[in-house]
Amino acid sequence: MKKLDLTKPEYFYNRELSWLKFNLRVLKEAMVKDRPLLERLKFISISASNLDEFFMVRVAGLWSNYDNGIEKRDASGLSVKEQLDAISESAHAQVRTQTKYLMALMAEMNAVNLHFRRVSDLSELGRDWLEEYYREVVYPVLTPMAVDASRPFPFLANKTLNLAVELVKADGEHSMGLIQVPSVLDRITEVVPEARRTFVFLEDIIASHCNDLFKGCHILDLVPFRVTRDSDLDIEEEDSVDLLKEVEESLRKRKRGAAVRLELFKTNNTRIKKFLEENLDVTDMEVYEINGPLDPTCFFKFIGMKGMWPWLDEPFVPQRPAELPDDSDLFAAIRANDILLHHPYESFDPVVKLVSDAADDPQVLAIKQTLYRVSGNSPIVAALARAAENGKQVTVLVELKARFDEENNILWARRLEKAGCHVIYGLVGLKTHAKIILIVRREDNGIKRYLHLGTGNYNDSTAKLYTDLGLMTANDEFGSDASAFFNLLSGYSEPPVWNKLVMAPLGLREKIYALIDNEIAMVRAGKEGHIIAKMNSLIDQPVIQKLYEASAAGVHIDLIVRGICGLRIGIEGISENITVRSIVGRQLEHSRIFWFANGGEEQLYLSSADWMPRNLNDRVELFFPIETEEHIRRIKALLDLYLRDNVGAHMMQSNGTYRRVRNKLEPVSAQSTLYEMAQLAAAGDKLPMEKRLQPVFSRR
Amino acid sequence: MKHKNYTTFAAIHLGSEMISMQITEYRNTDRYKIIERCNRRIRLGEATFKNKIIPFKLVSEICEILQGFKLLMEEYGVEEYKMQATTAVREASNKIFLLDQIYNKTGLIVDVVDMPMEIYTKYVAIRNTLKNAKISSEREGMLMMDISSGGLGVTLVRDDRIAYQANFHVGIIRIKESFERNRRESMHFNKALTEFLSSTIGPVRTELGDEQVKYLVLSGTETELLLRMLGLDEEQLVHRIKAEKFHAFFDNMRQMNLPQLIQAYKIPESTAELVLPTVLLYEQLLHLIPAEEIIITADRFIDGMQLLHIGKKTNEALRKSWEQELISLFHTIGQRYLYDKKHAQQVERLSLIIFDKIAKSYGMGEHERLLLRATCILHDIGKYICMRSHSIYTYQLIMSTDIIGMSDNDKLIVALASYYHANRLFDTTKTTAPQVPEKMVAVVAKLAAIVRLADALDRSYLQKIHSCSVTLREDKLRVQAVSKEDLALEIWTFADKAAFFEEVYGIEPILERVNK
Repeated sequence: MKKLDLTKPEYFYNRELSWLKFNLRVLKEAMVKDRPLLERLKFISISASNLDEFFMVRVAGLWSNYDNGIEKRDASGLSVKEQLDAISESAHAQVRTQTKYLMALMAEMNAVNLHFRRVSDLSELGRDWLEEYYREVVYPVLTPMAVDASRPFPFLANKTLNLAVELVKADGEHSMGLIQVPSVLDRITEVVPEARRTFVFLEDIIASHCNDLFKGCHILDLVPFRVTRDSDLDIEEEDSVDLLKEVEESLRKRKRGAAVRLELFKTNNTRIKKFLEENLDVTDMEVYEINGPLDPTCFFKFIGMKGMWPWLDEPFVPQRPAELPDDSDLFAAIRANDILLHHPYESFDPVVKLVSDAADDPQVLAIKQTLYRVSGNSPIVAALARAAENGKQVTVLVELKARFDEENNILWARRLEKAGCHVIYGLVGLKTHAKIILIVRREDNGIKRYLHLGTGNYNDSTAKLYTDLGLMTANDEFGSDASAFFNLLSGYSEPPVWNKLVMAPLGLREKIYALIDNEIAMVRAGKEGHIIAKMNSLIDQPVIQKLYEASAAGVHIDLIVRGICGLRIGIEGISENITVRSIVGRQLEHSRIFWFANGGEEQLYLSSADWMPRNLNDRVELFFPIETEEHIRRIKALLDLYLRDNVGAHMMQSNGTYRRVRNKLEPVSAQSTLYEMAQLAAAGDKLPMEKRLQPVFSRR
Repeated sequence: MKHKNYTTFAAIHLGSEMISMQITEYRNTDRYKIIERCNRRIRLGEATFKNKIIPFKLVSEICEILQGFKLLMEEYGVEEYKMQATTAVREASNKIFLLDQIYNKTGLIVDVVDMPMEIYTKYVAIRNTLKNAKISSEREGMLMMDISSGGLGVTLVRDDRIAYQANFHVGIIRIKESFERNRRESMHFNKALTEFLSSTIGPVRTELGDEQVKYLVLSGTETELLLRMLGLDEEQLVHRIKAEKFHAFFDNMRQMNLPQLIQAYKIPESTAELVLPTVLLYEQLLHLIPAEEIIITADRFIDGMQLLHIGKKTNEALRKSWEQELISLFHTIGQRYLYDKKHAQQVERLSLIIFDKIAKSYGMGEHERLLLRATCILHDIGKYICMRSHSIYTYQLIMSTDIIGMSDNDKLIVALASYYHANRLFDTTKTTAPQVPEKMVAVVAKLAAIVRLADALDRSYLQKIHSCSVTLREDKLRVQAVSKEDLALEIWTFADKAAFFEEVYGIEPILERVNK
């Protein structure tokens, strides 16, 4: 057989452009008419927030490559500059769409009596009220800044909204000034005295009242704008003695990164435009003129204002897990059976309870856990600290380099250290992304280990929004692997021969190849080859090539990839047996599930890792098998449900675009179905009456 | 909570290439579970074999790892631990500072074991594994070769007894470090190394004479490499390989140069440099003695540490069998120096009767009993060299014999007790007398005094006393010897030697002949 050349650039999509397509899918959710109005608005905020981060990290990274003369082409054959150009083009179009959608939504809001108005359009009563609001609340925190020969252009912080002001002095001389829109104040204010619910933007309040702000000057024109800066951390890990200090230091530097995007309200004032472009050192392709409100992330807060419930979904309530009707003795429950949890449909509480129970259980000797992103006031962090104070050996592997959580992570890492936990800041050059808890308990028959392995972070807040799977087990082989894993991370031991777990970067890539190769072998042996893989992103070129190889050999591959996907479908003789779909909806798809037909003896794995180079090469990740028949069935059914979804699913087309799945079948929304199933399971499985009649005493 | 019925034990081995810890829950030698295994690579051997110094950077690294181990021990609620260091630490001239640092930073006390003990520890584990695998040395001989990074131990086992034991300072890393890089890369290295090895272990061939063995048991860190090259599963407990297959493998390998070897056997770069010495050493060893089958077990030093610890605590039968094995080794050594076996056994028998009567009140236990037996068996071997002042030669012979299973400390006690059974302690007129370290004086004196009496009881070397009973009453040790023969010589000698005994124990020994 002729060996296929699978490296051709036309077989791959560029990572950034693929991401922009994903964000467009998110944005388009705002136009799904059967969704409550403000839920739709939320998608605009989400996509805007996503885009901010994209510029801060990805685009900034490309610019820095470009500035450093790195001329490597990506898998799809694009040079750095070509990527930047293409991104700019695509992002400009996306921003236009975003504005269009936002204006349309604002019109719809108008129709339901939620009015966004210019200050000038308010009633006299409203204007008076605002006048007072400005004097008492806004004015005291405003800092007008003139820019001239003696006063240089000030540093404007990342993602802040500002007003550029063109001034004319009494002597007729023109000059420029800036006013920062204070981020401590609400961006959207409800004008109370108006007869109908009416809202105004803060920048408009300032613009309408700031005439006397620059003494001796007259304001000619005023344009809102926003700067986005390079925010990636540059940490010199190898030479750092104290990683904690190093991260703190580079966090300070981050605030001063170069500007990578200038958004400004559409204007004909070329003087202001030029003034900003020059002083922020941005080129035309980095300037986004927007004919609508800047920074739609402000609607997150707006949606939370009182009285908005008629235009929102019923609150989402994670249910009591079907496999854990009674979690009063978690250790006994886990000893009896492995427990599979599906968040957010099923509550994350048992995971928190596991750590919390362990902290207070006199038989528990040690708790070890990885932490990547945790919630602001994490009950898990509190439980770990309590455990250490209770004399348990607590080892916490904190990833300080979790992007945009660095500052947060430093805070509670210190807190854990203070409580007496043994805090490890990961490995040099590798981010620890694996999600694992290990509890060592002394029981009558010896040491017993309990673990939780998951696909998502130990974050009780995001666990209400992200779909993730978690496994609780007391299986000895998993347990000793878990110990070995922590020993490796703590520097106590070399990598062992693993029983069950597969770890990146030591062996996960090879394991993936082996599993795919196995399906190829099955096809060659006359059996059916089939892979279903669900993940957030697929961009690793060698893995994609492996998938092409499998498809070419006749293996059916169904990919459920929420975000970036560098794989191209429908290439003749190469990827005709591959489907790619992306599920976007109320919940953020986050679980990583890998199913292999294995000639009838199906194999199923869960993982913290996407199939991206960073996950397979530069992160500590875990990939673990699901071995209970019932769990395999349950998760396989879940995958099948995703494959039937014709509500939130978007299929990749052979030209690389995504089209929402629309067919004549009964509508199936995987996310809604799963929620309903979880509600049913929780209701149908209420505690038996004799249990409910038991009095509750305090634990000790 | 119910009473827990197991003990948690941590064995820590500070080896030449690896710091390892194994945590075990045990009830006895049959019911135990290893709950944690840690192996952290450390380049200790390379540093000490070359310069005899452990660099301080390594010291800190070791301490850091041990602090981690200490945490792990706490995590599992470890109740007993043993930490031993082997060759690399033993040979470092600055080991005292290492041990001090370790103690100060971790509170762990390190026991630096000497080579015979090191070999013995592994030997115990391997023998146990072989017994469990129903491979015995009962009729067929078994030659066990242990190659560590710093040493080579050769042990011949026949009829479940140690028939020969010798240890050499040739280990893989040591060989590597003995030759400079440019020498190692020289074209002549292969041949030079072969000659070097041949001359080093050559004497074994002479010693073994025409012994025949069925099994050649290989152990040591490099066996892993060997297994990998043979394409065998490194995790399997026991591998049995037919000799022909082994020879074919070596023949095949000899054809290749180093890069070819690396490629053919997929050896990682890091171990590549060890391949050649390993291969040549194995080849030399195979030439020592023909065997039908090669056996490789996965046992490591740390497994032996664990077995010795658990065995001594929970398995009386096993402990006794180990003791018996040692006794057989003492006799082997005695034989080698043409000892008077009957006399030795008579002295041993009589000594034990006295010992058992007084041991408890004088703080002596099983361990001292074993040392006493060793002294009795070996107390006269110096006569092999010279009948005059044989005791000094006895001392020297014992000191220069590797006695596997015996620490250097214990060996010194036996050598000193043997010497002082025939000489006065604290005799300042004899300048050649071996010095007794202060902390050893008591035990050496107690053992020597008993052997001295027992030796007197067989002064004629005719084993005239065929039984005897001992009673202790009012500071008098009454020895009633049953004999049909005249005991005049014994009685007079006994009286002469009694003073020392009385000096040591504060008991006056009295010999009475009982006619039966």
